Amino acid sequence: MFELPDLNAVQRFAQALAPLIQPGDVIELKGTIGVGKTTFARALIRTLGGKEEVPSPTFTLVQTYHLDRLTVWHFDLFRLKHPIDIYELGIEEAMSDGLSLIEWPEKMAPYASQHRVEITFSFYIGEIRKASLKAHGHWRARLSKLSWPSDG
Amino acid sequence: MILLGIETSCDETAAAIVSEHGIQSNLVHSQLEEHRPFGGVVPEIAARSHIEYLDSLIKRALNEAELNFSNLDGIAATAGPGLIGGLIVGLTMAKSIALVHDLPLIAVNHLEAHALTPRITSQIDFPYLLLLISGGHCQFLIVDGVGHYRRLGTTIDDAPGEAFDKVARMVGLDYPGGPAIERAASQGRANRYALPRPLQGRAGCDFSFSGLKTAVSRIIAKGKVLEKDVPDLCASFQEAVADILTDRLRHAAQAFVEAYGKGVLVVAGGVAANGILRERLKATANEIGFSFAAPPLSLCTDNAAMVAWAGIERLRLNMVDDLTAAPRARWPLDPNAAPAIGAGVKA
Amino acid sequence: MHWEHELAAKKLSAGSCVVEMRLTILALDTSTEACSVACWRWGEVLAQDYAHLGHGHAEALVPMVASVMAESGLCYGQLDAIAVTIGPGTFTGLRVGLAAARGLALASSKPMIGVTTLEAIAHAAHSDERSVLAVLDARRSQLYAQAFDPMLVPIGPPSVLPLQNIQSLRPDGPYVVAGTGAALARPHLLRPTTPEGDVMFDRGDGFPRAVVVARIASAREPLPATTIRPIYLRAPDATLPKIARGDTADA
Repeated sequence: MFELPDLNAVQRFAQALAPLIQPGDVIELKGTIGVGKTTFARALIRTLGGKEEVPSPTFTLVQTYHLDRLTVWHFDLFRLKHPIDIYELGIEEAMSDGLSLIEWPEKMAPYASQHRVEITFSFYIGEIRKASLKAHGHWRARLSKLSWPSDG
Repeated sequence: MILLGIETSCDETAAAIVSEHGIQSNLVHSQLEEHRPFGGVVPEIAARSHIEYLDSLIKRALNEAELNFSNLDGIAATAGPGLIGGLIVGLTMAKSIALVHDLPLIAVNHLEAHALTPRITSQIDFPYLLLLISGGHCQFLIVDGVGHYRRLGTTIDDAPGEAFDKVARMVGLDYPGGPAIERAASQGRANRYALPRPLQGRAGCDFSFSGLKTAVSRIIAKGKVLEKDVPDLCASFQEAVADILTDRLRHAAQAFVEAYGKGVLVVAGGVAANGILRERLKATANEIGFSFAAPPLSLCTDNAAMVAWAGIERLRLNMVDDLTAAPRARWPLDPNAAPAIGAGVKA
Repeated sequence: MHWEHELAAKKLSAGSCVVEMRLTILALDTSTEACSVACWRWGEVLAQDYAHLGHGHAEALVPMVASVMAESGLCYGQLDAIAVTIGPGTFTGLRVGLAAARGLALASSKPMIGVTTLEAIAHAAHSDERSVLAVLDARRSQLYAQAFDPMLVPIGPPSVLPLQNIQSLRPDGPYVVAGTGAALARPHLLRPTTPEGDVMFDRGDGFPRAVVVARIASAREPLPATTIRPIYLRAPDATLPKIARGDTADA
């Protein structure tokens, strides 16, 4: 569990995670509305070299960013009605060699990747947020390399 | 001049026939009879339904207008911005029809279609000040002419339509959230909850709605919002959105005045269907010496008539596309606008 | 009915099927990284084009149709049907192909014929006496696959399955493996622990071609365009969520 006192800490957290990312990765972003999922995604895209605007993908469901290292696919499945529709959004290509950042991943649950990390954001005390990480598949070994001050 | 218009950039599969004299037919798949059992508009991620229904819908649009392909002068289809899967279907089908009947193809920017919509029903001359507000967009633009847009400001995070949808979800109202919140708010007191107005009073014409959305979520998380409080919360939220929009309007209008003097404010896009926001924007526009125009409610949400109309406007100027035209997930109206780095913005 | 189907397949494969091949067909394929168009009349190819695109089918396909039709010398009114591969394949590719084909059918008031991608591969690779195992790379270590007997009659429906399960679709007797997934399937079909049987690997590039789609379609009954739908063939990942649970770590 990581304590994030403000939205700047959400950004620092994204910067800490960025070096661990490899092509084909899937990062699921969970938590209630307004807790900082999109802020985290935006910060991660910036850290990976994104210079374009990073709109919230709620309306379009997915926005892609062609960066130097890899292509980032930023999904927001809030409006997804049927899990299978994830294929309509290009998830095959995203998972083969891109980075998939997925908000509201519950909406595609049956098709989730075996190798993914779930980050759950929540309000902790007042405006202080916390992030809990759950690694699946080969993310398990990688997560131990995450460097983040132990006191949060 | 008569055009077929096709719109598949997001949830709606739509086809329309429009002439220079008006709309001949205007169909949206989700509103057709076979979907009535679900109770009106079916919110569906429609990439799949586009491929399934678009051809029948086009045929139906022609039948309703009592025309066939040989009567057309061109075919317009939304080529972006939007969901790439849907754009591919609409644009590719448009190309095939254009090829067989040797008709000009017009690859339309969905945002331009919204921007030009008021000109279908009213005589509005260029230049005008445009506020485009929808589920995915929120921007002020100076419309100098067809294909000529200057962005004055845009949202640095969420679009207002998205904020409406998410707040509706938080308080247990239906999707789409805009109409649901407007209905609930009509029974509520707008001064009950103190909500932030991000960027209010600051220079420039950019918007921010994310903090407002978070503030609503914090109020709900405290657990004191009962069902009887929902109208008040909706009214307070809607009031905050109206305050943000009108505050920013004053800045945008100032920029327009500096270039052209006082003029017309046009409000377009799905959120322009909200009666309260419309009234507030109109009042502010009039107060600062601008006249006000907005499309009829039926043309605010995504539709194909506006795409056909944008096609007419472009075809008149010989702005046609060839069969290699590419669908574009992103397609800003003003390609020279500086990206709002450090935050997010729509397309 | 089944018997008739087999007979038709026999006639087609023997090249002696005169009645069924009378149609004039415009065929499209965009189901994989390849993109192709063919115009076929009375048993011969009038014009065709093929490109290995990777991406960009939405831009390339309709201009390719325009040039193939121009070269064929036919007008759209002379066609009997529009044929298209309906999958399995990439979602984007299938959508481009179906949208173009349904648009052409609507604009020219013609019916359509849908051909599966695996049929197109099997027919291209077919040689007498051997069954065919058609396999397409479905990404993420999966294959789209279907087996056909020596008369090209399908043995079971098209399916999607993990690479290591491809053995389960191996036809009896001598067979040939074809399609973009052939190289991926190879080590799983040639496992030292199991008798490999009489297997050959097709030497082609494994991509479907509109010419073959046209040839298959010319022996079929055209149908109303609205009945031609894509086959996506996607099953949920079998490994989730149960198996993944034992392989997680919390932080």
